[in-house]
Amino acid sequence: MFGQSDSVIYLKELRVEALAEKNFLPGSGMHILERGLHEIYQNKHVGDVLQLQAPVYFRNYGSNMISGIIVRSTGPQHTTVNWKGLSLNHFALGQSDFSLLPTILFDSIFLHAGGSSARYGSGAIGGSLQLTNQPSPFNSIKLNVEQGSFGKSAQGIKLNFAKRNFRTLIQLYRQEAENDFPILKTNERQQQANYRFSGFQFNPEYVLNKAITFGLATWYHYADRNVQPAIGIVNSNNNQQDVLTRSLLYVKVDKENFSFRQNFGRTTDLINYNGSKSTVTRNTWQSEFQYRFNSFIKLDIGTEWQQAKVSGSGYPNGLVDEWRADVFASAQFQKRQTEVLLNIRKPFIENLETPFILQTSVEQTLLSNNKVIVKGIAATSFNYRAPTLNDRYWINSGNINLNPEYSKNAEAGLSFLHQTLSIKSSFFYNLIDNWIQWKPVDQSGLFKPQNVQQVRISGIETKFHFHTTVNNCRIDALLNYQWAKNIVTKTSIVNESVKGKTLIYTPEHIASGYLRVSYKKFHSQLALQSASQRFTEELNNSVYALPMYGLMDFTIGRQLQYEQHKVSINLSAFNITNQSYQLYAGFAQPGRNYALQIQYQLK
Amino acid sequence: MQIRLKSIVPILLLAIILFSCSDDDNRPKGLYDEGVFIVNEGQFGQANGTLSFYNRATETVTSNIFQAAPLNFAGAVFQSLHFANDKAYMVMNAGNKIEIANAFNFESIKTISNEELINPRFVIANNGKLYVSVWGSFDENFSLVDSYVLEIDEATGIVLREFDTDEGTEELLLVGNKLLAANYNFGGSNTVSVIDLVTGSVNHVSVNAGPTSFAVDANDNIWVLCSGTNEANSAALVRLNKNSFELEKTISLSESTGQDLAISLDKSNLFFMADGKVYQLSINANNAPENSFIENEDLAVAYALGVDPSTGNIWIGDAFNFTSDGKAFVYNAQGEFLKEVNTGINPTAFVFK
Repeated sequence: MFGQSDSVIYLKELRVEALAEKNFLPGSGMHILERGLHEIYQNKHVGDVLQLQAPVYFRNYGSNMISGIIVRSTGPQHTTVNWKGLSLNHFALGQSDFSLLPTILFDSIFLHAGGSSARYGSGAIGGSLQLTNQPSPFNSIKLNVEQGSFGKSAQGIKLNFAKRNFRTLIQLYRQEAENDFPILKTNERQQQANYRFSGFQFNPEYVLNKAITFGLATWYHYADRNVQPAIGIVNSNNNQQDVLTRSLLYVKVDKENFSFRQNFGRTTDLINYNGSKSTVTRNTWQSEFQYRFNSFIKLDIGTEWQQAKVSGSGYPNGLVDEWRADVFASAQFQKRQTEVLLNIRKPFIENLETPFILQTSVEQTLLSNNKVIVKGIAATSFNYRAPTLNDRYWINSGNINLNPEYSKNAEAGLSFLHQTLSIKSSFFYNLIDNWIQWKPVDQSGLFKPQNVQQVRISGIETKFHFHTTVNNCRIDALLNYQWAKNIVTKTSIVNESVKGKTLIYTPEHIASGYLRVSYKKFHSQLALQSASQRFTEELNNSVYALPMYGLMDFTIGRQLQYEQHKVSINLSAFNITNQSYQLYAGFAQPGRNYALQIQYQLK
Repeated sequence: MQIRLKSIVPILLLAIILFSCSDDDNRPKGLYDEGVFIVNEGQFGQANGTLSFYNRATETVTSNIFQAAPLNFAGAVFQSLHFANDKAYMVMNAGNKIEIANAFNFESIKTISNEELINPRFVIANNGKLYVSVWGSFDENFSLVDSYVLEIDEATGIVLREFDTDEGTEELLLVGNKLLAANYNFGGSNTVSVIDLVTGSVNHVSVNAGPTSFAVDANDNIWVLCSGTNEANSAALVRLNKNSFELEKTISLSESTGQDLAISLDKSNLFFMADGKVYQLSINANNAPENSFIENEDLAVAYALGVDPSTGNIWIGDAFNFTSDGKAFVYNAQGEFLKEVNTGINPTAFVFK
């Protein structure tokens, strides 16, 4: 697969967890975060790193505030985020806040752009993101300290202990910032945007007979932030606290021809907004079995059962719950130059009719010699997203009669792989029906969620990666470009004027990339990202639109090594052109800012 | 008799000056001397509230006529507009500011903000002082806990006095040296505060749930629209005595209403909205109207109501989807449709000049 090819080239040290793996996924939309960039940006959140390496856009409500991902012109609710196979999307809101995902925690981050509901269930209409980390069989210590502009201070510790059959990963982290950056538009300092967060992960494993692994992964994250107000708002005093716990008890069996995994997960998401609390608790059972018949055929079957409870004043009697179950199967056929994938899934949700989900792809090697590999891929999928708990049960507004959103997704692409250059390009098409929107239902202005919209999305993604080494000097260059056009093709009678318009916060053009030069122990990197004009309201009035922006970051660094001790020092300047830009209308982003990062590693 | 040129010149000069003065009086002071001003809240949480101007003579609309630099728009949740002393006073509810501009060309004069301006709603300017109704902060249950009216020195922006009212104070009405404040709170309050600006004392008059706006009729009596709660017959139009401010009359309304109360050109008929329809009620009536006065199927979300005191035309604001530009539908005094006018996002009030 193209994605696997990428992983071989860039990420030799990455491993992929069973339920989160990228097997059984068509590879044309695969974006695996490059390790070097990952290291430099590890005190930023996952979204900040992703937007430099993949053609995605983030709707950030300010600096380090709520952040939602836009993949291929879909909404934040259309991308699933999984950690070690456990879904992290908030069950009541339907999306993940990327500001709660510190990059420092994860060994591997990969994004699959395109529909993958057959593998990842509800919500994977636009894409799916896999976050993984796991204990290493080797002892190591890693310390990370960063000081940055606007009072930013970050610290992290990562410990790996391994002895005989035991291995344990412990991670502790904290970060805080005054976040009082100058608002370039007003020359005033940003008020009321300070934040702090901290947390830990603890992941012990016991390996029996080199084949059976028992493990417990726990992750606690606490975030406390004053909610950044829009430019022009004073006396704002909103505060949000998030307390997140994720626990996963698992058993893995890995044999030559088969593997099995059993997960029991429990997640709790508590949001405290100005003292008003809501809590979502979710229990998840997952079983998955893979069998390799021979080198040509691999099968995978599994089940998943989830029960979610949400409590808060917005729900009838303060509490609602819902169960969901899925059965799924995948098959991979590989013969000579051809690979065929087939994924099927049938979800079952309490009091909701759900569709049968299918995904298939064919990948064909068109040319292969010792210099060049050229592949073609064609994929199609049906995907769905179930209504959230808020959509169904919110007091006086929830609509229990909502249908799931349903999408038809197709794509075709070519990849060219050379020793120093790889190019991938694909065309994608997505028709999303029954799109759920909260709309006024009467002339008094009462809002209710409704299946009112159909959206057609099409586009082209192209990715270039070049790397070479000349006289101890390694050069890496990556460029991502996406052109995507979406149009509202159906809507309610009341909203007829929205028909033919473009979805809000979906730039037609997105470009990102970096150029990295490493010479002996020195390295420098220039990173770029840009997005074209974005409409901020449904009728696409350009008066309210956000203009195109382009950002540039520069990092220079050095590594020092003495025996097993390694020290890395990075000095970074972000937004070096001091550009005034907004990712969500009205919310300022920082201009030029700096960070000094020092990392110590003992192996 | 010979008239000397020397003696004529001063007279001619005087005449020129006098005529010039006369010309100055008739010359427009700005682009926005007379017309209909449409207050557009903007999107919730964003600072894209705008002010639109409808020119009666040219029948054209000019959007976004006031921009509070360095913003491209007027501010965050533009709540209300008040004209006095050749100045426009604009209240930014989420922005927690009062923008003051020239009433004719809308060039900014100054911005007032202070720590006590937390969710301001309406303003009245009088004798160098600003009287501002303020909701205050919400608690953890999204309930208002401390609303008040501020007296602010216009020149310095300093708070002079704070008058405690009931929660959710909305529209203000100045009658002599008494200031009336409608305590709405989404139907949770049911009083009108009567503030004596001389002594600073505050009395409360009990009315139906959710008093929100005032109108003064042809007899100088004061009408208050009480928008009610979700319960039937909780809404009402009530009349207060013009001298004592005591409750004189209550006309129960079967369903909850919008927040705007308007009065006809001759001040003999009241207008209010309920369930997206406009109702008309004579000031002499004793019972609620049985039939609506105006219905419009094209109206998505009824959001504002006003009557132009120059023409008697009735203006209805349509918030559409709350995130995009809305519309205003204009009817004549007989309820006949005249025209549709484009507005900014969430047209919340019409102010006539």
